[in-house]
Amino acid sequence: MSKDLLSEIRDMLIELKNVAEFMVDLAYTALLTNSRELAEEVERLEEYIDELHTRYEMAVLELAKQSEKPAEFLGTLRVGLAAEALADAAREMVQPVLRGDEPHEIFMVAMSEAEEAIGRVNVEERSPLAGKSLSELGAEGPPVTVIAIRRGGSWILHPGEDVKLHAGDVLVVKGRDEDLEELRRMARGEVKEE
Amino acid sequence: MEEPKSVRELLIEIKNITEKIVDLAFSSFLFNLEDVAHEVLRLEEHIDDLLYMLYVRILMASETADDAEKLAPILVIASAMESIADAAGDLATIFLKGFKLHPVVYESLKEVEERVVPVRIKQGSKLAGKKIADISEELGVTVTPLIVCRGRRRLINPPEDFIVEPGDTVILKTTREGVEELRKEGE
Repeated sequence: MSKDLLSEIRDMLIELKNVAEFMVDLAYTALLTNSRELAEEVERLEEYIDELHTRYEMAVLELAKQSEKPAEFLGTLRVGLAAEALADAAREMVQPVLRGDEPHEIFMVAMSEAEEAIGRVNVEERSPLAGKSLSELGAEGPPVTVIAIRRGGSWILHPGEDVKLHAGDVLVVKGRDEDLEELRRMARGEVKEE
Repeated sequence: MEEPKSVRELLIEIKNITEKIVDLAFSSFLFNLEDVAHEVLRLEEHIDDLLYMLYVRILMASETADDAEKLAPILVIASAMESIADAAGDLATIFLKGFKLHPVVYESLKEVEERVVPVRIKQGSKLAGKKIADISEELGVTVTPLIVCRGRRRLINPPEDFIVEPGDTVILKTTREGVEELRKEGE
């Protein structure tokens, strides 16, 4: 069986998992911030998953063709369906935002009080965060996950460890309340008292 | 499991579970973890119960046309949350029915860095009586606890000072190296 085809399938499978998980996060964030932009990103990602899923299926079928027992690839095929169903659910979730429904107070309170909160953090000019990479932030800052960065008019979704923060960036961050607060202090350029 | 009462509490718990269940479902499939797949099914059932309570409370809160209009979007969101749990549950079900990944695909996934693994805390384990926050240090590997299973209780995102007891199962996220260490420890 082809090694290249196999590693291609592996990479697509991991990506299906990552994008599906990310979409659920992003859908909650879109609801919490009542952000049309984020809701539209969820829709774009749903289209992306559809396309990725098709490529995945084609590659699995190709690999199955090279095998003597193609039926053994049935489970490998089916896992892709779950990713697509999850993507559809995330898309369904942001429909109230896209329709422009007024977010219900109870919902906003619930979302912001969930144990893992999601919040926005503005990186100011004098902040020590400006110029730091996410891996440096991981080593020096509170334990939070940066799930998206808004820079000017564009978004960096699921930023990698080597992405550097700029002054003016708006970060969408997931973590415990107290950790988000500490990050906000750093982002404002306040020095933590020892 | 404790029964949360208010719409707010129900939404928080459903949100917390749906955020973890996707990872757990995929991980069970990708890394051949039957225990985790069973856990996904339990969580899905739990979400169904919570959603039912949520629907009842929302209907009770709606008296006027104005209320209905304000509450309807929560129903749309709740139904999407249900779809997420269903999709995760379906993934666990097809896996448990034997539709697993092909062995060559499992083999290729051995190179993947990020792993989910259930850890049973045995009597006398060096983790017993330790805080969640101290698990990484105790094992010398970086781990992120996703959920603690204690009897019928499920604790999502356990707080740092939560103390692990013998009999608990902690499903945690770690690295490939971390899984090896955990295996060596026999934890």
